[in-house]
Amino acid sequence: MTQPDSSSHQHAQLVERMMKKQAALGLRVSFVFLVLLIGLPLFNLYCPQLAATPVFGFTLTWLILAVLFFPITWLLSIYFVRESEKIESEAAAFAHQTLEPGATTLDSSMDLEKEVDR
Amino acid sequence: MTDVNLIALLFVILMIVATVGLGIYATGLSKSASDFFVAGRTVNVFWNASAISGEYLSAASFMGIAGLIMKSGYDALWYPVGYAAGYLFLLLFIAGPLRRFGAYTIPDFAEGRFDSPTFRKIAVIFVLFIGFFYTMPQMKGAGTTMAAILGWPYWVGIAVVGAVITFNVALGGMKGITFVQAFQYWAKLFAISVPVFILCSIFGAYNQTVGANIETPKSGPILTKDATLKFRGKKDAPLNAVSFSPSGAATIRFPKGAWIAKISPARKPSPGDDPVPAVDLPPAATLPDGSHGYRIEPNETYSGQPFPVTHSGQPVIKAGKPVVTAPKLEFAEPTTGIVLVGSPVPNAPTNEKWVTPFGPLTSKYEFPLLYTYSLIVALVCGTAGLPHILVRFYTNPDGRSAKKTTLWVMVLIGLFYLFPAVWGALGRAHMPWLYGNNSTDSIVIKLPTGLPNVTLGQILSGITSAGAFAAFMSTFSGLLVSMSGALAHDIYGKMIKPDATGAERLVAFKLAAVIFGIISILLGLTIEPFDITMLVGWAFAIAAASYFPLLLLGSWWRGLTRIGATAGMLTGGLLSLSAIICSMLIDRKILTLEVSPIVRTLMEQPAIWGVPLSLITMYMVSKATQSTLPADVDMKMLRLHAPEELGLSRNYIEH
Repeated sequence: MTQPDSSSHQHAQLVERMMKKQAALGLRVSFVFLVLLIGLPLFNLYCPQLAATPVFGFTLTWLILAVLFFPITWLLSIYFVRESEKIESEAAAFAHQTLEPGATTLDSSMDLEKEVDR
Repeated sequence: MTDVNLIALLFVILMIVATVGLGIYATGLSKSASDFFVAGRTVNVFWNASAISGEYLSAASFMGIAGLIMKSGYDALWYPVGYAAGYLFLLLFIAGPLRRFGAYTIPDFAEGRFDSPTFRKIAVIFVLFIGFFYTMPQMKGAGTTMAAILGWPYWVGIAVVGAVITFNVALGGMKGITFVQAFQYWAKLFAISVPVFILCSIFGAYNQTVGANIETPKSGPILTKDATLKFRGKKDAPLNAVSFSPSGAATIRFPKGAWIAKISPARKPSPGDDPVPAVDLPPAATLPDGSHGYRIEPNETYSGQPFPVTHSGQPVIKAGKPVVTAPKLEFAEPTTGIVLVGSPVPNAPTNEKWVTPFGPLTSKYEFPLLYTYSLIVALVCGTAGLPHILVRFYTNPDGRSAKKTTLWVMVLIGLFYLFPAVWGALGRAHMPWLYGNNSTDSIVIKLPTGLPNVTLGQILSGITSAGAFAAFMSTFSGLLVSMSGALAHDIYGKMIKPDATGAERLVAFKLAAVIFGIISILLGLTIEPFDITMLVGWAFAIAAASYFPLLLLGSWWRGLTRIGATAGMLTGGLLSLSAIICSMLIDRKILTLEVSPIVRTLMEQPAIWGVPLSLITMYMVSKATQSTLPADVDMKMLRLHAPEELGLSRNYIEH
């Protein structure tokens, strides 16, 4: 296997930066979501009165879990997809400006097919 | 209950014909081997999302969740939430990288990421394992639906569904089922939503039905007419148990008499609690199998009376009030009983227990919070690790559309999951005798038949039956494709005959589909006594502790080694599997094992330790074997995360 040339090295750094951003975004969104998943049982356990408050005929906690939960996941995923695309387009734009011929050199130097098709 | 609902039969036949017809039509469009496997990778986002949703909404989603919500109330709401939440995790961490990597199956990913054919073999075995566990509940759903609505024997439903799907998959491959499954998503959404709107307009609105439970917390559903219940015998334990309601006396008349193996307090007794008072016991007798029990003569009645719980003769007080329970009977032999009008329905939790959190499902072993969390972990991580769902991401043209597809899937399945809870609530209020039969699973099929207008009821029940059929069929075809794909592509194409041509692989795929179809039908015939949700739980827990950690760490941590990944998958997957099987054997009273309630909770819901165990094992073993990291690991990470514009992605399969 040949040594990656300098432009693929730059690629690697770019992707690594992007990966960190993506991971941070993923963690940020999942944090909101985990607060909900971990928090609701605790809320039920420690504030049973409040959880049982009637809202629109349901109890508050029923309304949250059976009805509101789904739209919340939709909002979170819409936010995620939008932000994640932004990160990718930025990275791609950056790559096109600075590392134009890199893509082809990289591909041929790595001999991917042999690696995976064994 | 044995009368045949012809309208329902017609709807079911229409659904089967539409499925097969679409499959045949789509075959005309499916030409090359790559079309066959991955639908040419050009299915558009919306249709692909419909197809993924169609594949995901199985018998458990269509019938099981509504039944479980009716049975256990609030706690069961975590099921649809967990299924949907799992998808969000899939979107956040797995969908994009996996598609970018350009592998076609999880075994491809396993081998491509770690350069290890051995690891591929292990991954293939897990595909088959999870696949079979997940087909069994589909089969059970098919058999019981047909038994419930059309009076067919259990095996006929299974044989019909199994044969139709196998035929369809062998004929059309994946392109065929993309269309079929997208169609089936919309059929299922229609079937679960439209009848419920009509039912609500007659029976009363969803929120009022739920709210009624808050107003009278201590009572429960009461029979408005005599209900004939079939009770099961000891060999179907734990389904042979009937718990009377602590809210009032219930009377059952046994036309054929009854042999009862055991009578105990329905409330889980703590050590030192006194047994059921002697006045509430029928005459003692020697059972047909020679053991001690009780006998109720033909046409005699038994009255289940609430009684205060006592501890060495002293009343047990909780929150200033004496605790009340009622007897629980465990039948030794199957029999029928007529529960008289005005009786509180046996086996139904009280309104308060049903509508508030930490009810009968999670408080089974006294550790409701732990149970709840472990259930959440299993559902969330299990979804992200189901092989037949993941395989669909490769039908997206690129990583970007993989994410968009997942977003759409979130919307589509979220929409669907709003409805099972409505069925559960309506079922509790309007068809409570299903509790007594332990057959709440069939509420979606049966509830419409309770309408005053018989024809309308039959039509609506026909629609839900067709929806239920769409559910078994679509999930089963997805599983069949991923299992046959694993065999044709991974075992035949990679191990047995690496230089196989496309046509040869296609033959292998078709052959594999037929073989697995037959095996699934045979497995389905053997699992009648098991619960649908229990079987689905197995598949989820295994997936959560095996594939999920592999995909998560494999996509995001460059230091994961092949040995670490294998060790983690095997440790987490196999230990979770054994815990669940032990727990199941204890439930069915095949295995007798005295374990503390906390251990029992962790055995029934192993994900809370299985997933971390698997992740930690992967981490530790990988740290110890860093020298085995492939030389091009950075390149692999690049391929997982680089946007398509950089030109680094390569499809794993070249046509």
